[in-house]
Amino acid sequence: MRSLRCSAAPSIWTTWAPNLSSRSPAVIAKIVVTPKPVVNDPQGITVKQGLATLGFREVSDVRVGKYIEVNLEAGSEHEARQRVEAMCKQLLANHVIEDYRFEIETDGRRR
Amino acid sequence: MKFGVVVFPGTWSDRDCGWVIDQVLGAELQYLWHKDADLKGCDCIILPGGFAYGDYLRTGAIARFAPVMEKIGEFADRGGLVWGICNGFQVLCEAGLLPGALIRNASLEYRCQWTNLVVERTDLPFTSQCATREVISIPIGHGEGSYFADPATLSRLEQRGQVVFRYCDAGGRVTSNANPNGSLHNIAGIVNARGNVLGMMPHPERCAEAELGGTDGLKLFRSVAENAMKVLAS
Repeated sequence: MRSLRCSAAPSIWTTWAPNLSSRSPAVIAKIVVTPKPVVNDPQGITVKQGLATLGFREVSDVRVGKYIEVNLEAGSEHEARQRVEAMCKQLLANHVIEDYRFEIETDGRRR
Repeated sequence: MKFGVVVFPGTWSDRDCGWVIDQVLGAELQYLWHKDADLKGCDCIILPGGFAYGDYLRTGAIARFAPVMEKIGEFADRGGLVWGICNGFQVLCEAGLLPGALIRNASLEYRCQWTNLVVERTDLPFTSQCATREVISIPIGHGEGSYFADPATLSRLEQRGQVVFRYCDAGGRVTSNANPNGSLHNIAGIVNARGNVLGMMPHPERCAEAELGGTDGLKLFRSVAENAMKVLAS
């Protein structure tokens, strides 16, 4: 059973929110969601076959996932990471079938 | 006996379910809008097929935040019957009311076809009118119906007998050829441990009248009609 029950769903909107001031810098979270290695990925297999047909025989594996950009305000990079982690856990990725990773960009700098 | 049929933006099988309940079964029907915050005295809640909220992000991922879902979670906790069909099954998995997830069909194709299902549990309120290991014929229509769960969850489901329907051939043999979507263990439908929340990819509401090619789906509706009141009273 997944830990996130629907009865707890509104908590996304009511959980602790950071104390933002008008000077809180805007950051961009660049999130990549991929199917877990144990999950069959028919899209990835098909793309791999397509690449092989084009002559890219060095390709050993392809996994097709999705890319999500989230613009948010955060008092610090640490805070941004915490918030984005929570977003991924609660909505952006389904932990049964997907893994996620992300980078935080502030002022155009990747962290 | 009152059935509640939930309607999300993008749901498409609500009227088909409603027709079976109202016109074929002759039971009381109540549509529930996704913004409804009460279940209006329904004895069984159906989450029908479709593309709730456009299947944005993942199938069922956004639907689970609908106000009606919170009430359905509470209803299920009290032992009320909740029945997810196709997209409804996907919503129940995303909501954590059933384990596992439904992923893209192994063929990458949308599959719209008749399937044979072996009924592995007939002691449930959803299947009491089926015979032991009966093979029923029910159509599917989905692109993301491949059931996945991690090995530990899968073995727990099997040990506890929570697999209710499995894709099979006409003789009841569970083979890979009979599996239309790549579901692990040919799983077409599962129930929670308590036995009151059922999720299934095939569409029983599409085969409840002979004019539509079969009436096996009606057995499930009749089972629920027979048992829902008893379940809530117990």
